[in-house]
Amino acid sequence: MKRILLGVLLLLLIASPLVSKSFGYGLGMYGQRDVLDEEASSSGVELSFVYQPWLLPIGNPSVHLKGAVGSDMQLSPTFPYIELGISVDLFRIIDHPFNFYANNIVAYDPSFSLAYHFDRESTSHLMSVGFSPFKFSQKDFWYEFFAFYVALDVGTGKVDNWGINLVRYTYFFR
Amino acid sequence: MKKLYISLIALIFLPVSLFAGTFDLGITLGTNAHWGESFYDSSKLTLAWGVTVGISDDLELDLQANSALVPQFFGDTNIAVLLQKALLGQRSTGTRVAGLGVNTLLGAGLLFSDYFPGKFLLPTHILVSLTPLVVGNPISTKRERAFTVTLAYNFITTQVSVLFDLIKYDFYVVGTYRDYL
Repeated sequence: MKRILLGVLLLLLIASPLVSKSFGYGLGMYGQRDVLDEEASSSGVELSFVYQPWLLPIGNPSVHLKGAVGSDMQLSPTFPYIELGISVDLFRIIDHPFNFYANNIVAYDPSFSLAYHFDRESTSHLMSVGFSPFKFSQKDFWYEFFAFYVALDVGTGKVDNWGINLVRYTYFFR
Repeated sequence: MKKLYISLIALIFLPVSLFAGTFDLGITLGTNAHWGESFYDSSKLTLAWGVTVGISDDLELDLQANSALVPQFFGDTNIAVLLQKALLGQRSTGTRVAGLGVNTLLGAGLLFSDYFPGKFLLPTHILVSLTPLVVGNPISTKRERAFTVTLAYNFITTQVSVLFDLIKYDFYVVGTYRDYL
């Protein structure tokens, strides 16, 4: 009986993130520089989906799926990348020098990310390493500014492309 | 000669009284995009930065530099100078009372750029700008300007282009409620 109770409690604990506000979608304004072919550089809108199971004060992880749609240097429509990866918030603090930014109290939680970067025009496997230095969060929102990434060719170790998200707003709906 | 100097000084200082009442100064950060002159402007992602100067309760002067981040990081910069009027009411009350929290801005000005057959900055465009949504004001220390559309007429090349600022944040350092306590 004790084991069953413990088992049920454990299951509830594991399942609890599923009922908290863990799922979010985001919109960002991206620019991407293709290092090998400048004409393929592009800018536009980045759509992202985020799953954040916990809210740890240090090292809080989340999973993200991102896709970008924009126009290249010839103003032709392009879908430069799809990314699947994880982000880790370095820390989350309330007392920080950026509180002037918002009317409400926002937490400052800069994050690192690591992702598989799929570029349909590249035959190489790309790994993206990103940093979001100005990431702020509230219960329902993330606000990010100047988030940047570098996509490396896993085979050669060289930079394939890099990009910046000037702004990205993520809304947690469930 | 003395009369001329006095007249000149009077001409410089008299219009200042038109702007009496409020003064504020904010730092602007945001996004910018330029469409329609890709032959001269190859930027794909542009950072807007500058200052916004309140010169009366419903007029402001915005100095905005637009610096390309992609494809060249800070590769190209143009400068917009706009005189803007708040259409829905006072942009600042000049008191500790915050006043209007939502506004609309209509402005006109000049763009200094190298978008002509040359490689130096010149006044090149006449600008007419509309910011439909302004949230916040100088008194409350912060302001957001969204969906700014600016028509730009290049009077050197006779081309028309569009500037679009998705969002800009103004952080006020002078003329906030703290200065009226």
